[in-house]
Amino acid sequence: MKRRIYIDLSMIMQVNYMTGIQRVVQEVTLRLLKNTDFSVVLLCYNSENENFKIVDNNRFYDFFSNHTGTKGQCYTQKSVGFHELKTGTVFLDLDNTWNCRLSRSYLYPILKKTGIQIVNFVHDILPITDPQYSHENTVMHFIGYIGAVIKYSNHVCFSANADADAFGKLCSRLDMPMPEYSVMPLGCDLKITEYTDPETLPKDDDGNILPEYRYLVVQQEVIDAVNAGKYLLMIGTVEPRKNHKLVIDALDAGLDMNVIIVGKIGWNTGELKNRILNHPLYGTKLFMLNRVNDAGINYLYEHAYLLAFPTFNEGFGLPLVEAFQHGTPVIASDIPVLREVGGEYADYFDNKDCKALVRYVRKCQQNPDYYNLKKEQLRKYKPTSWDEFAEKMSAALISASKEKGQVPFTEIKQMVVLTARHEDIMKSLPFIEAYMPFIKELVVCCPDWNVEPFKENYKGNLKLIFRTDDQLLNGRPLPDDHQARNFFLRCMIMGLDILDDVFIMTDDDYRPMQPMTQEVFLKNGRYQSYYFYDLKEWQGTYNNYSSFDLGAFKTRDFLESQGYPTYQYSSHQPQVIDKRIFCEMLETHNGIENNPYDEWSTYFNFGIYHHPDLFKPCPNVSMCWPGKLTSWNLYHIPGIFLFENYYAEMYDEGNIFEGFSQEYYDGIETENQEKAFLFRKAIEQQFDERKVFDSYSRFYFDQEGEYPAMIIHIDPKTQELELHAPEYIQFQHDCWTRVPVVITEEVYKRYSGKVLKVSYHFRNTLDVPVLNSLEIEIQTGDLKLMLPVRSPKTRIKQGSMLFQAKIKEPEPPTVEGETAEPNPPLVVSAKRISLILT
Amino acid sequence: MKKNVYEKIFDISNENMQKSGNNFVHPKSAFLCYTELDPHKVDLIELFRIKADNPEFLDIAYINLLNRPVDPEAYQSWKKHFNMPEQQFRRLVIKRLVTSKEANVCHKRIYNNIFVKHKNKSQKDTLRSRAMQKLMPVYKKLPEKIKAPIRRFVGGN
Repeated sequence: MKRRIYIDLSMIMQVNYMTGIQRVVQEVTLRLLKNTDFSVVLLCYNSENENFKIVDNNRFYDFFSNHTGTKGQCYTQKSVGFHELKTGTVFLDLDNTWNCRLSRSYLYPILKKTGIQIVNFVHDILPITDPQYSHENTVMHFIGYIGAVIKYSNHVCFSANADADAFGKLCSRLDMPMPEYSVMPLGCDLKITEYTDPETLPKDDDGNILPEYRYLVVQQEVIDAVNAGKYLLMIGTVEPRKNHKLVIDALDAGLDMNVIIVGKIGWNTGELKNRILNHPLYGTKLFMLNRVNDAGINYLYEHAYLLAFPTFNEGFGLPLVEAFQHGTPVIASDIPVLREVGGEYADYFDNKDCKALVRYVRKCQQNPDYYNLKKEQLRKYKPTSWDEFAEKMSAALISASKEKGQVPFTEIKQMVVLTARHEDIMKSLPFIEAYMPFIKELVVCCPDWNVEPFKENYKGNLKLIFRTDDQLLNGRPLPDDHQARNFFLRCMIMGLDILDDVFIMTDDDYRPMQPMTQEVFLKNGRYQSYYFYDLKEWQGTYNNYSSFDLGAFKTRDFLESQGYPTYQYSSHQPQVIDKRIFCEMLETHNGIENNPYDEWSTYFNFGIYHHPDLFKPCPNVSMCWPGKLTSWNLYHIPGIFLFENYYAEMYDEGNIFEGFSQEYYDGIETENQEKAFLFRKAIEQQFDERKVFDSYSRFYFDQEGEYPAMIIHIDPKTQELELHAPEYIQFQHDCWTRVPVVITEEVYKRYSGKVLKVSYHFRNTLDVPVLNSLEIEIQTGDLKLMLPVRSPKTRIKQGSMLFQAKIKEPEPPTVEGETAEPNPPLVVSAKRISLILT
Repeated sequence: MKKNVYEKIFDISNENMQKSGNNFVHPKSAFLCYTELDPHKVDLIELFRIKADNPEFLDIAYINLLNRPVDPEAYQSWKKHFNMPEQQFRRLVIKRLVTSKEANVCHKRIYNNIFVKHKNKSQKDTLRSRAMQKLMPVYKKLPEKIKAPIRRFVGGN
């Protein structure tokens, strides 16, 4: 099967010039497109839609290889979200993407979460080692880029060992492991653009050469400079690091040769540019050409006496090998990377001593044998070709995408449950026995007193193994907090010797809904890991953070601090656990079991980070999570429901599963299918309702420049409590929509000890109330919440919504027999918002 | 607090900069606020709350809202406001940047913009709502038999 490789071309598609980096991107991409081992998808960042546009492979090839078409024509109509790139693929980052607005420190964690392998080509780390030669903005961007490479990259490619050494030193100073890496010298078999006699080229009616052929013609200014006499060539962007100053100094110190400087004007060169342009020899012995085409570059290399390369530092030094290829001798800075790239073919000098350059040129001129020997030697020079370079790159990509291993076929037969209520698991077991026939053994971890009733009441066929809480804890105290207790106990379970290496962990109310095989948990050598959310986006229940929510926030902080992915795996369905990897996590993060973390999210994100080949993140397949659809905005709609997260109240009168059986019986699959249908319909309805609010939010942003939210704050100007709300709001009729509510810290500080309550009231166009909410108390300290708002049933299309915030004294405790007078509010702030109902 | 990777890299780069006899113009916070930043959105309340002095805040606000640090020309013109009280300065910076043409082309999703007041047209006392306020006490005293058709007519519950 072909390996899918995504290549980010965001920068090369933007710029109109071709530096060494763009050359690498172009040459590698063109070759990978022809490589049959890979299925290449070319991407270009689209900031407006916050996704990647997909570039057409053939049109890209035609434009960059055959100069046909335009860059604009390379784009397709397709796009892909950052989260939508496929698991198990490779993301190749070759370009100078530190300049891309889509920062790598933001993008890479998203890719890692999806199980994508990241391969980087690090051209150099000069903005860190020699920041004085980079624009400060470049350093700012580069810090985020290189930090992300170190944290998240699976394989880093360098063009020279010197670069790999510098990168390795940086990693060790950061106490970070060096990622797997390869060194691959850049190709330099430039497709030589043969300059052509202008007379032979096609022309338009006015006698001008057609634009598509102009690159074949050497510009007149180039020919003039070359004809002015024997010259020393300097090629590369004009910037302080390239040390052009030294060559001008050499000219002033008696260099007996013309100098031609070629390259686009870069950063911080005002002084140098003035010096060149005002030099007495400018135009006679000194030339600067800033817009030379490929034919001109070729012509300049071919006619040069020497290439001077006095640079302070480089990632590779492409001009060196380009000069070799043209048979032009080189005098270069004596620095490790150029020694490595130039080897015996170049001569080296102290890049701070202009007289050394003068002496060298004199030596060559006075000693033609030496000079000719150098030229002769260059005939033997065999440059690395771009094909060879691309081959090494392909090997790196294969190595990164190769599954380092896969889970060997394992029979999963054991299920582990933590339970304090044997009645609940007892009702779930018939479903498990019927639909998960591969499970033969149940390890029950429960309090002491639960063992006997369990044994007495269980009539099924599973082999039962009991471990009591006391046995698990082995004298260690059980934490009070619900989440901390759960995590602690699950960590303790890993110490049980009766446990299989691979088993299913479940809770007492997770019920399979249809027959399944163990492939639901282990497929193609990968553990299927089911997530239902992203912890980074988890906002908790709206009015009262539960222990689960607080645990989720703490888990998010822990995972982020470790650079781990952040999907939320507490999907309320059985999940497969590899005990060895769980134990590895306990060893790596010594003492982790004492934290109130989400047990599923810590384990799976750890596993995916350290063993990406063994896990596959998949959207959850659990129904009834959440039980109440208003609890939070769903992250996705599960493709299939394989498990039910059983809530008895959902079967109560008037509720969604009223009338359905809660107990297992033969043939209950039909009922389960009906339940799945009903639940899916409810979810889809919620998504549709949300779409109304989401599209209104986007429209509101386009019109008003901000996303709508109710903000309770202290006005920075008047210092009074104020409610900031959108001018108008849109809902679908008769549904629950979660509206963002923000409360600033200053409100809590100002009204410390008081109670904040919000309410909303809908009125029709005649100002008649159509729906009033209750007063909803906001938990102190809540800064952001998604308040579920019920929109009116009536078929009005317009009206107003009054949103109110009240600060009150806390209610006094009620005494039996007395009716407490409600405290009048201290401060009220309200906003009337135009309402549109659809 | 333990330094993260990005902070450590800044320290190394800064050390190399100083060794070369130079210094960065922008503060450390400007370098670091680029990292792990969602380039597509900005929460103005969070931005307003960032711990920084006025010149630092200027850089951070530029990076958050315009994706770039403050340029030397703009810095010179902002410099005269550096003595303003912190909150006032921040309000001014945010207001100006959010409403700038450059911000428009940055495609940032802006959240919690409490710095721009809405006209809130709907809050105006319309003739109709004033009339309704007067009629409401009368309506409330009516028997349910009469209230129900009125409700149906005006669309209330």
